[in-house]
Amino acid sequence: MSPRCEAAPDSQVEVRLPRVLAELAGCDRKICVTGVTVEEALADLVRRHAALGLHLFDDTGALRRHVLCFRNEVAVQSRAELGQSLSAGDRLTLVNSVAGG
Amino acid sequence: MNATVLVGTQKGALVLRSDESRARWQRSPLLLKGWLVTSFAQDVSGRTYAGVTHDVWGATVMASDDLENWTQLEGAPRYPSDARGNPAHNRIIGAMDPMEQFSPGGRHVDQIWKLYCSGDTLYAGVSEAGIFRSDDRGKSWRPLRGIDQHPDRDSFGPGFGGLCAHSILIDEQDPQRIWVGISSAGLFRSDDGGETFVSKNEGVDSSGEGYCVHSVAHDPTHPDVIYRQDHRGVYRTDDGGDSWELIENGLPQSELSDGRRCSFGFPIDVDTRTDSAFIVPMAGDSFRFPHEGRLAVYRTEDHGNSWQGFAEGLPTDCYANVLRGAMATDGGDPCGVYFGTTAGSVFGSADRAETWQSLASNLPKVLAVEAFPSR
Repeated sequence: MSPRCEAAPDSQVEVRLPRVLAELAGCDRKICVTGVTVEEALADLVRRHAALGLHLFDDTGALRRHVLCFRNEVAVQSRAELGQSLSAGDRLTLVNSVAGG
Repeated sequence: MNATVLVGTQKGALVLRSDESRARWQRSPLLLKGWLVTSFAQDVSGRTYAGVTHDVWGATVMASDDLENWTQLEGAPRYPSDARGNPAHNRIIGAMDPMEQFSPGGRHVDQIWKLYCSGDTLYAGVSEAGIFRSDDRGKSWRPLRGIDQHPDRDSFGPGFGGLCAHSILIDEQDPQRIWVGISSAGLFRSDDGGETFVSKNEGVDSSGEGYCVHSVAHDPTHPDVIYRQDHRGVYRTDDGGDSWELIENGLPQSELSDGRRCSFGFPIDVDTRTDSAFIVPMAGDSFRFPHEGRLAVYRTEDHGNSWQGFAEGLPTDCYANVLRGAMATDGGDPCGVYFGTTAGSVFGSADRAETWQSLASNLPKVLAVEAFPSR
């Protein structure tokens, strides 16, 4: 099991980024952020690394259509689910959907 | 002169640096990995900008002061969330969008087709077609009103790649005068810094695709003389676009899909020292590869009254295209000319296109080439 955010206050969770975005933002692929919901955690991610904002969210503020966000192993399926509560030690994983041969 | 050539591909960028003779070249590792690198520009300070995009993560502009370390600009060209999209562009982007990124009805920046530096101002030509301007090195951007709110915008017809603003020319003596090429709405000129744009296509064949301008080039110090490679031929204007004349004497003719014969191709560029122009003819819109597979660059030294082809050092079995942004000149004396193909080859000439050498091969599809004197 990979290490999570250590000595985390209750509201800290780990976000994992795809390599292409981590390199663009000049940050680690694993980042500790703060938030009591998925939406708040992603907002904190963008506060810490503003360059990520336009790549994660579209012009309306929604997650880009083929940006996938997993809370632990479960996909966050809709904009409403961004409001779900997080628990200390949760992990959010952001990936791009992949298609083709 | 030492030259630096930037190559943007479908999966990243390369930097090629020459020695004084421009005969020997060194190549960087692949930079900006994973991004489509679609355009480059360099400002007076030597800062280089790259337009990049990704099917999922979207389009933005990167900057570098050393061509090794790239940082995303603080701001990026983006339309307001309530901007209405061009209906035909939305149909095309929707149909060719395997990732279903497309949001019907809206107007989005899906690619940075052209970057252009004029003094301290950075311009970006994008699709859906628009020109954005930044006066603070990319922290903030605003669309030029004359394209953004053009009265005919809804009826602009897109090319196969969508409705894209891919060419920008600026009169360096009077930066209020701006030319913008949009496929396939044609060339537009503003005389008021972008507040209004007027169609400038008189004399150009518009049958079929509309005014399908592929690329334009001029010497910024003689801005009214503009060379133009269109879907339907090669043209020149001497009056800033008020009238155009076909200039194909000596160029190979190809047959278009509707039977018309003309010189078809995509990029055009100029040597400002000699006022020469360069093109890469292709065998018509059905094939989009060189005539008989023989890759050649054609040059005019008399404003298009005659053209001469050069192929020494270029392949004779090439069935790839050269895209509109994938050719550049380096401003040297003599002028260096460079281009890349959709098959991932890059060629360079240090003698105004007369002889060529391979600079790189086996790259992803080449989308953009830019060249500068090395600093």
